[in-house]
Amino acid sequence: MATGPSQIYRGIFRIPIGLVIPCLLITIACIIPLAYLILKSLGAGSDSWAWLFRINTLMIFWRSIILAFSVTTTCILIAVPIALLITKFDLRGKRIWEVVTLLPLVIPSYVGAYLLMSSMGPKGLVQQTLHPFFGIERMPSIYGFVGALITLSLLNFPYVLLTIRGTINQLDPAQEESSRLLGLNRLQTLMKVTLPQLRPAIISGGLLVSLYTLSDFGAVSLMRYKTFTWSIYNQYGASFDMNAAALLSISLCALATLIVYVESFIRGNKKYFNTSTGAPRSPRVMKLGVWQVPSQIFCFLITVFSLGVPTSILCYWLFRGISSGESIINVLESTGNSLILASATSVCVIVVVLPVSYLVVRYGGIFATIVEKSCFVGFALPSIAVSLSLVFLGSRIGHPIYQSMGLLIFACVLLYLPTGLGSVKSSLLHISPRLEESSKTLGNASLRTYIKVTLPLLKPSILMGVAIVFLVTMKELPAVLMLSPLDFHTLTTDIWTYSSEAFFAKAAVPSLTLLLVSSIPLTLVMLKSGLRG
Amino acid sequence: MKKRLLNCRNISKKYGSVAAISGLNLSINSGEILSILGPSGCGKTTLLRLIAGLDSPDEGDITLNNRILVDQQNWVPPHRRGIGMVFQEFALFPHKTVQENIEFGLSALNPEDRASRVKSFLDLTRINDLKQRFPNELSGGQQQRVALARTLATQPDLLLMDEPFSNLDASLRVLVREEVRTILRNSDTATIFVTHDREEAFSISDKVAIMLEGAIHQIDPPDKIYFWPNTKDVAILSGGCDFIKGKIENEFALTSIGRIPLRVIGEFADGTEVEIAIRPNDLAMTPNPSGTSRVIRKEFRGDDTLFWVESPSGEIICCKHKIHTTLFAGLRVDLSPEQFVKFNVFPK
Repeated sequence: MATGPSQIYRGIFRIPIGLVIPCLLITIACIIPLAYLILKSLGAGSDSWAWLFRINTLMIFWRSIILAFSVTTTCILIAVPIALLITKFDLRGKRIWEVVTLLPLVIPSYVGAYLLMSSMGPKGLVQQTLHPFFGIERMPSIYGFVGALITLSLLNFPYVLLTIRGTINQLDPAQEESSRLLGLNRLQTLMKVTLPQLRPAIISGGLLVSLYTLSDFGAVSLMRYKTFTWSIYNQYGASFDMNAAALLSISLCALATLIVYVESFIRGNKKYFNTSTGAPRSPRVMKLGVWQVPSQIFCFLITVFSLGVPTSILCYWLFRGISSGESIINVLESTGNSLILASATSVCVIVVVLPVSYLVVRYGGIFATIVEKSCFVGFALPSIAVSLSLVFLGSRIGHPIYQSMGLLIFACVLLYLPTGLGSVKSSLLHISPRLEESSKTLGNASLRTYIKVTLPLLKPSILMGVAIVFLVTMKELPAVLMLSPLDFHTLTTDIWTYSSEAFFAKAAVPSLTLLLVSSIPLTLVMLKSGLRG
Repeated sequence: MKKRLLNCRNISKKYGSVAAISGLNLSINSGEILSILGPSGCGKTTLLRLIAGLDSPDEGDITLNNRILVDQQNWVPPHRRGIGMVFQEFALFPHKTVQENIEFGLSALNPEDRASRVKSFLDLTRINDLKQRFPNELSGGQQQRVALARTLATQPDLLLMDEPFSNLDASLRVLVREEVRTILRNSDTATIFVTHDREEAFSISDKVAIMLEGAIHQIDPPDKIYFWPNTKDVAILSGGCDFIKGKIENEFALTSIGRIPLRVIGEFADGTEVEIAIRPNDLAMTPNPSGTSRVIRKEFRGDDTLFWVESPSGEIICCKHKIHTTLFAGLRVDLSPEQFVKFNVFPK
């Protein structure tokens, strides 16, 4: 039997060319920064390498790893109980807790750090308040590891919450019911059936947190905890030693990639469709009983520290600034710039995500794997490394690329592509391919089927993706610091400038504006999905 | 004389190293209802997907009305094949109403034609008062009818149905089956449908194709499949049956329960050792204290009772009996062929 060309045709080229070409271009674009960074560090001389292995740099490794590990553990310890309380127990006011516990995502790490510093610092607000009564001259230092740990844990735990909640509602209640019928009590069922199934979600949430911690620049810099990102920025800013900075970035990327690899190794890679017919029944909730009050206190305390305290301090600084005649700087222009950047990025991300997610979920295979992995470059590459690479590249090419808005948007798309992809991909996984096949047998070509069937069903997850990408782009700091056109101010760069020079009152206005503006789309989407569910 | 509609020639399909279908041949005439009966995992669904164009075969070719759908050079995409498919899980579009679901495949028509087409298929499937509902507001039987109407409305040359009744509960299944049969007859649509339920296959179709391990073993009208199975496997799939050993003698076989009349002896010479297929309805049981066989288990099933009987040589035979009160486990019985029943014989 002839199995020559036609076999191959049906193998690799069964993917429509209209899908292959965009995906190929996306892949190339995604790989450029990493490739350039590698090339650059290959060119590093022996003294750069010697410098890398000095005890000082090894300490940077160590600090980064310790911080990432501690923050991840703390976040999991905070998020898992909250997620279970909200979804599995009759926690009072769970609709409110559901929204409130996600809101810390809105606070950028450098804002959190600046607020913690200004309040709990040696001569901060707390000291100033306590001084008249107790004569406390100095508070114990909050700088360094402790400060970074507190800030990053309190602001990043919602990531774990998000991944758990994404999974927990898809679990088949029949499994928990079977467990009960097999003689396990509710607590045993929770521990032996529910939690193990949540393990992948917890691990991928933990992965997110550890990668964000590794790539965090704002909080560790303000807290003067010398990790990778801090060193890279210093190397870049102080000496403009490109090779050393590139070498450091590559090391950081290697560390991040290692974490991603370990995560996928622990989690395994499972595909699942929602095969059960009919609407899934909502799972039964368990009674908290006497634990209602302690649970409420737990949620309350976490919310107070992650959300209540930061916003009140922010308001305090705002009023103090106004009353002492501090000029309230005009944030209109910065707000506009931030909005343009965030909107352009989220639209571009979705445009890129749609073909990629379809290729990955519906076709699979080697090509799809390569495309998907390259889209995740921005996930493992900390934003400072991406920015550095693009700065090198941009300055090499010069006008019109260097310091252009386009390059900045490109960097942000690269960084937040994985976020959007995750949202759309998981939703596509749950749309049965039978629906698209039905449409085809009813006489619709592939593209028409995608527009008439797939897109409408994906709409909620696209909106969610847009909202999240919008939010994280609003918060993005290093890319904007390093790549923005001359005289291009955003809310983040304003906050950074003022808070790093300890003008706490001046930083308050852009901070509050940032919090308000970036939470609007997220709140809208959450309210909409909440109303429907 | 009926016209040859679909022809599948020498189809093979592998998934990785696993052969789902190997060297399969199948054809269907226009207006015919053909069911493919086989155990799960025999490649039935794969075959439907190859015919619909949702997958392509590694080898072989498929033609519809003498037009090549797929061979080594050509491949017609599913939306240009004129083949409709109803999926096991119905696959109604959750974001569209019943009416919009049915309109979905009719975008080529002008608005008036479309409206009248939708109307006539809403009527045919008797779901007119459901047209504004969304799929999640429908029962299983209603979803089934919408899925059928949606597909039939495009007036396909051939309709494929993948285990269409397996998502319905037992009480509904028979009812819907009859309905679907009537609808298909009225619309005169050639249909291939896949099932693992032989009652379903026998009751709905003109022809049954027995599929095993990726190949069609026999394709014949239901009664012929039941009474004249080609192989032991077909005999087992087309109805419960046990096999006992025997030796050919004229048109009979000598077995441990006596002389049994055979349907065809074919190439078997006298004295050949063979196996005889025995359906549960084929033997009569008479209680007899000195009988040579013994009832070892019984199962009351409402309309009848199933008995497991051990023959003198220790072979277990399943027998169906209308009366259940007089017989019980441990009782000695005589087994004899029912009047007019003839038996099928297979090489040992």
